[in-house]
Amino acid sequence: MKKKVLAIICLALAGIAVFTLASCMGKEEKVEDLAYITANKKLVIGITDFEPIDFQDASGKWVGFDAELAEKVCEKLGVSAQFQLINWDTKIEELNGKTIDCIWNGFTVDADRQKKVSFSKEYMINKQVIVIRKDDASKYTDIASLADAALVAESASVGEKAIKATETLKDNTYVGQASQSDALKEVIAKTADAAVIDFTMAAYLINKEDGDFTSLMILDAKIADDEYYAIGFRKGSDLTEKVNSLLADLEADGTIKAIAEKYGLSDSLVTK
Amino acid sequence: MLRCINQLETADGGIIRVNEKTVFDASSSEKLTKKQKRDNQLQVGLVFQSFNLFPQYTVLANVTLAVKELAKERPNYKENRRQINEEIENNAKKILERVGLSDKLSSYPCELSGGQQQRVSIARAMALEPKILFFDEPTSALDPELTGEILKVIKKLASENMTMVIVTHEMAFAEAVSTKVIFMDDGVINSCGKPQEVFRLNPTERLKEFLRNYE
Amino acid sequence: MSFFEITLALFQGFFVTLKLFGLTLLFALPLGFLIAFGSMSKYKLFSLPSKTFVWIIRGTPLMLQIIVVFYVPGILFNYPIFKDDRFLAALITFVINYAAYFSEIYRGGIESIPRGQYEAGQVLGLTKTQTFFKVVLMQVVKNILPPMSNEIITLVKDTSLIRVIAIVEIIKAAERFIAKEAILWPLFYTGVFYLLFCGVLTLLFNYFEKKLDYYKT
Repeated sequence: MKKKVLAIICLALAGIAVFTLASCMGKEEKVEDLAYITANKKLVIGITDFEPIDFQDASGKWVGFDAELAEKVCEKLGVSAQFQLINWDTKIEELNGKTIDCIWNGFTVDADRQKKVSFSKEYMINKQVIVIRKDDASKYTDIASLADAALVAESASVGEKAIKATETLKDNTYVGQASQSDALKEVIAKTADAAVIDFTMAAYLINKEDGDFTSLMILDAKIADDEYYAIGFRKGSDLTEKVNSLLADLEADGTIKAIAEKYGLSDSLVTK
Repeated sequence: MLRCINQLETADGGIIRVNEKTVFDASSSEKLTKKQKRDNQLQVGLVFQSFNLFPQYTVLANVTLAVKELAKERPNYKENRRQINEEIENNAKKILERVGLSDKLSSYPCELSGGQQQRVSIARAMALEPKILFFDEPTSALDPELTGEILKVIKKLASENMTMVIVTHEMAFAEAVSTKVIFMDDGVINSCGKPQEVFRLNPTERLKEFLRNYE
Repeated sequence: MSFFEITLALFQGFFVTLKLFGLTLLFALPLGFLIAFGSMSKYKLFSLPSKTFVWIIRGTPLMLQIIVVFYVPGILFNYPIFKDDRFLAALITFVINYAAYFSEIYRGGIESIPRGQYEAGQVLGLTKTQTFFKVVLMQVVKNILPPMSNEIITLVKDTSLIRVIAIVEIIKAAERFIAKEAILWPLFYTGVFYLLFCGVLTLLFNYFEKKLDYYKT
């Protein structure tokens, strides 16, 4: 009996090991995704709630810059776009498990991610910006003037990293909030003086005409290096190249520019 | 031994005959069908030491359950279902009256005393009209006070000429009620005969010793 | 967004919760019986797989099982079965998981019935099937009712785990309000839904327990 139990435990552990190993091994060979999505007649796009990139309008339809651009690309691919809400923490697992076909949700390019996914060309700049109240426009004019300001950012975000990396700001009063929009709320409530968040979101929320954030403005000061958004495909996927050429077409005929204007993102487009 | 005759346990060897009919033969290779086995079993009834009543049923339902299930096998059951069930219930009520429980028909076993429960269990066994009724130490789970009512019921049944085999430690009772006594020691028959002979005329040493401890 | 609109949106999430709860019970209750009989079988051929199955399912977290069922077909076999139906992945995992737990409750319930009950059935000429259904089953039901109600109420709350594969049940529905509207209270508000539903279940089980209270074993 003891032997049998031991055998079963060994078997179970071996199974777990094989599974773990198999999921770790990066597949470098060519992935025939183009044929795969054509056969399925749809591209499943992994997204989260992220205004103005991907969000649901009142009727439940997914809209936003990425969503509309994706619709256009899918139209050219001859497939339908299917938006699938995912957990941002498990986006890579979703992609490798083929439960989604790409990550298209303001996906920031970085070196770590490049090892795991195949990025399309960068289509949007995302920088960290400092948001202050319009009333303080004369008080805060550059980074040096923020020396006594109470700062806020989303905890564990790029914005927080940027604050801690800036010599004159790293010892300021600082609060790490749950989300970027919460950080903006602190500035409105005057519990903080300046928030460091993504430009994409800041521009959208501040410029939303009937929104609660119109009393805020973006300070014209650079706090961190620019980042870029791109679409993530499976490593080695032949879709990357195809979608890149389609994006070039859409850029040439002004489609991308039109969509960007609609969502107040014209300044963020990558133009080559 | 009782458990072998009732086929709750399988004997290692030998032959069991009930009413001239072989119900078990260890040397015979042919197996009895389930149906045959059950028919043999129904020749005899068994009253357990621990009653084993069905707790979720009333007294009346305990007595009628098995009879009703058996009645379903009758060829004309479907047409006469109501009539058959009524018959069975009336019969069960008569039996319960004989064991003195007419007023407890709709009680549940947990509401009864041990003695009453054992009487229900006797009624339940009798409802199947066995040729012989076996008692497996029917009073050893009961208070001495309650023992009396069971013995009274058995005496009454004896006077109605019911064939019964009783395993018991109640020596005085065994002497008084039985027509034949077998004294068993460690699974072997020690002495056997009319009660008068076994207890009074020439009791064996082992029996004397037992009676001494008993008194 | 108004309180009413948010309540309505949470109800949509709660519907997914209830659907998973109901369908899991529907399939896991009978499947548990099969596994219980497997575990109790005298033949190793049946009992060993059953017992191993129960050990693995009870020995690993439900959340891990959901992740494995959902991702493994695509990652390991390049065949994403649940691409179009994430709920199905959740349902299969829940049915398997809860069948294992139910089977152990059934087994305990059946084994708690004294041998004398089976013997009484046998000497009264009842077949094994008759004995099980007419004599044993009702007693088993009474015995397992308290542990079953406990397990079923746990199931209500375990449904919240399916958000690891991004299914919008009630808690995920509430979490989306944080991302979209920057409001936190809907998340805490979901507690009211769970409380009310578990309250109804508790009343229901109390009612059944009372119904079976007319006798004692």
